[in-house]
Amino acid sequence: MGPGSLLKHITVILPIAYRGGSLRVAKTIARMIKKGSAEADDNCGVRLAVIQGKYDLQSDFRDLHEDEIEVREFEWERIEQQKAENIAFIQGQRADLYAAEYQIPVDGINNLIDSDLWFIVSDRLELPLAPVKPFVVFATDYIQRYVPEIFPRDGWGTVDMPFLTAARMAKAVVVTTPQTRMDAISYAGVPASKVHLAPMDFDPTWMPEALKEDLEDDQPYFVWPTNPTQHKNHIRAFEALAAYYRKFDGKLNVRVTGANTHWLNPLQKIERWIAEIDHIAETRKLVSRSSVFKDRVRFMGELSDDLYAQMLANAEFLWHPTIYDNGTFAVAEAAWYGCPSLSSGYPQMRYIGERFSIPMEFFSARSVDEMARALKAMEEKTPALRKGLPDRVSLSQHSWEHHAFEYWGLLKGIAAQ
Amino acid sequence: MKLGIFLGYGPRQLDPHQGISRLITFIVKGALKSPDTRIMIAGSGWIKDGINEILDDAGIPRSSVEIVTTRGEPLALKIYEGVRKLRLRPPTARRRRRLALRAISKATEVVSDWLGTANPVVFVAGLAAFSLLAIVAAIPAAILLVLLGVFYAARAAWRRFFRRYGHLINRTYRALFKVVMAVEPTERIRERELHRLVKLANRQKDINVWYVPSMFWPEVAKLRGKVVMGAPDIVFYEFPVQFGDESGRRALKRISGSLAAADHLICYSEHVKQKHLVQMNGVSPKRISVIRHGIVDMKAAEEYSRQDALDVLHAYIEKSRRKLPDYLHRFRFDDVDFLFYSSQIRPYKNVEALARVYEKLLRERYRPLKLILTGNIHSNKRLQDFIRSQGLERDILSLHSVPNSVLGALYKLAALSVTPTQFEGGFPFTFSEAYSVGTPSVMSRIPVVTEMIDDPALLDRMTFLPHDQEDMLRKIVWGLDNRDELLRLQGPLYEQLSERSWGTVASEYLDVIKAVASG
Repeated sequence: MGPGSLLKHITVILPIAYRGGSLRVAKTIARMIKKGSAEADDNCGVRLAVIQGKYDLQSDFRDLHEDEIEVREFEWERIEQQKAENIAFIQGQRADLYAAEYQIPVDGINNLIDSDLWFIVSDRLELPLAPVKPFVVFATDYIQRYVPEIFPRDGWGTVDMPFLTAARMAKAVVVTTPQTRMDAISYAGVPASKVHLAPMDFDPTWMPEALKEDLEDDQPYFVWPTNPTQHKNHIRAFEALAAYYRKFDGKLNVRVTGANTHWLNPLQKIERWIAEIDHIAETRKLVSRSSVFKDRVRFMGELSDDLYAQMLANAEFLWHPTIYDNGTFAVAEAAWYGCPSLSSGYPQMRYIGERFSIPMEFFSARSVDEMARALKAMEEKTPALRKGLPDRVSLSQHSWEHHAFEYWGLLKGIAAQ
Repeated sequence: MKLGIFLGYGPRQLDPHQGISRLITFIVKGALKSPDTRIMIAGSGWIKDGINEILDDAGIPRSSVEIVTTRGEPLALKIYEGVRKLRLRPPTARRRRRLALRAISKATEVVSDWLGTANPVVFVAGLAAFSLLAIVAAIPAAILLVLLGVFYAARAAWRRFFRRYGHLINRTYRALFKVVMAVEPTERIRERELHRLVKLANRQKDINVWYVPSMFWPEVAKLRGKVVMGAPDIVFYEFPVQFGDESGRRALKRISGSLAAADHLICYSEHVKQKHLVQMNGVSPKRISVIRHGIVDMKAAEEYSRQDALDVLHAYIEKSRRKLPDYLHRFRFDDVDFLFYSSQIRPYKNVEALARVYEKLLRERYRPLKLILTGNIHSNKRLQDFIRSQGLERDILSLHSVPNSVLGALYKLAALSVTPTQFEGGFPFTFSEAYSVGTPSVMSRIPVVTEMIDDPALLDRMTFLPHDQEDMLRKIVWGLDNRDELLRLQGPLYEQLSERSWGTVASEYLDVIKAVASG
């Protein structure tokens, strides 16, 4: 154990049964803590806690087992204010509690109490956390501030209150972009001294080799990776595509890919409750109304890593017309395969561009005309942008292994606060 | 000379922190300096405390001024005030539950102590007491239970009825409300009161001249002695559509009556003099004096450090938790940038335009800041609807009716003070209030502003066209990005305004009042 480390054990908690990106982030954080603390000679114990019954503990977490990181299942238990007060009292703390109910993780063993710190990956807590252990919240983004429609209308102004409370009650909030840091300060209401900008890592280890030839289609195309959530800006994006083809005589086809993107395709039958979601219904109507989409847009669905890599390697560019989020690594993945990107110019994407030295073209996600013009302009700009892309060696410098020591330093600093 | 000051304000309208109260006290102070001038203040009984408060606040001994007020208050007003006080702090369901739990817990403690006693006398005495209590309480408890049952059944029936016929009741209620309000019962109460006050004031035969600080009291026509009247503005002329309801029409009638009753008028700007008084009301320019405002700063907050201001604001939020949105509970403003507009929400204040510009700033320019208003957002349906429809309730915040110390803290902490108003009777106080605590301002380019700023470069930097939202956005962005430079540029303007103290303003008022009295 290195001198000065107050952290002997940390539990990384994934509060919801996430898969995909969020699960990967939680695992990476656990591995960074393990590796970083070892490099600093602090050797902090690390555990990942996940919701009970939602994962295959052997196959889903093989990589963590290899790194000797324990994975433990837990459930959330609701407790009344009085019990939360009692827990604080027993630990010699005076808790200023105001909510009627709190929650605690229960695992049938010791309820994760043996850790010095809980690291909650995402602020999506249904109830405030009882004051059992000091905890850090990893805040992904505050999309609702910019696109309130991502929540049901009757929940505006209330539904995210527990998330904001989680950030306010946390010992620290960890973010990965300066803009989200500012949102944590001015939207979640957390003092800047408690909001920490962690290094943004990019993990290329899962990425397969790809052939520079597309087997399916010889028409040039660009790739639009998306999902059906509202902040992905589908309606404006399809309107911009229509203008690109009709008004600007666009030459490139588009391939839409990502989980559940078939919901956007009017030729696909989907469950009624999904088809009745306002923006899904409107998008499907918009796509079905215009014949140009039939010829130029291909809905690829969720692709395997190999197929996705191949599609990127052969694309003219990647298109990212999202209104707002914490930014996407899709542009870094595209750069890995020599594919340039055209993105809406919200601060997180500009930050990713700068951080990974990826030259990008930007447009306003709220202007259909600007989006369409930007698409047309990309037909000419692609070769120059391609030349400026970073090579794989440079991109690899951003892998989690390179940031582990820094990450550990950040957590040590938080613990010492 | 004996000067009478006639205050026809309604209940709770005389606030010691308002500009007009400060002006009145400066005039009183200035007049008391000259040995041959005596002062009498006449007001309704319901503002007697307010008069004493403004004198105390200004350090004027009550004994140095004669105060005449009507006696007694209308019964309806007393009932209204009583109900208002009761409604100020209705217990919440949570508080009721907590109180009930506490009572049960206490009772359980007593019973447990009794059960645990080793003394047979105490045990038997307790048993007897409990038996007696059970017998005595049985009948009232049964009655209470029945009453509670009836109450809840009636409430449930009423709710069912209201669900079915509520729309009809609401329609009838609205129509009835309109008829009742057309008669303006509160105005009638005030008119009656002012007639009583005028009669009382006229018993003072030695008053040479009256200063009347508002144009809403035509009853002053019956005052003996000359009348010098404050005429801030007649904003209805600028925004006939926004004030186009019955109450606007009635108010204008009262203003016309007041103007006719005045021997001389004092306004704050050339624009109001020429447009509102001369052109629209045919008042002779000779009967009007323009006396500009003095400096209004944030004395309460000048010495604040940033941390002091934060402490004041956070303490206020904690104290006012029940009336503020849950969102602000434990919200820390430590590092939050915000635009600030201190103003009531009036139709001409252009707050909706500011809200729209703010939305662009946040969501198209990605500037993560807030907009804080001191007006009550709920008083303007359009504004409220816009904020709700855009999901901006968390970022456009209304901290209305805040004490002066909190107002000062908000000015101190603001990134930029923004005044988007389409009209003001005088140069906006917001500028000097903000500058005095180190916060720069941008504001509308309206006549009272262009009258005061001679430097075209400064005018360009700090003003925007109130009807041009793009211009407003540009100026706000520039102000945010160049805060220090803007503050530096505004230094000379602040110096210029600072030279004009309220003592000077008051002496100019007194000169006019004396001239009218002797003329």
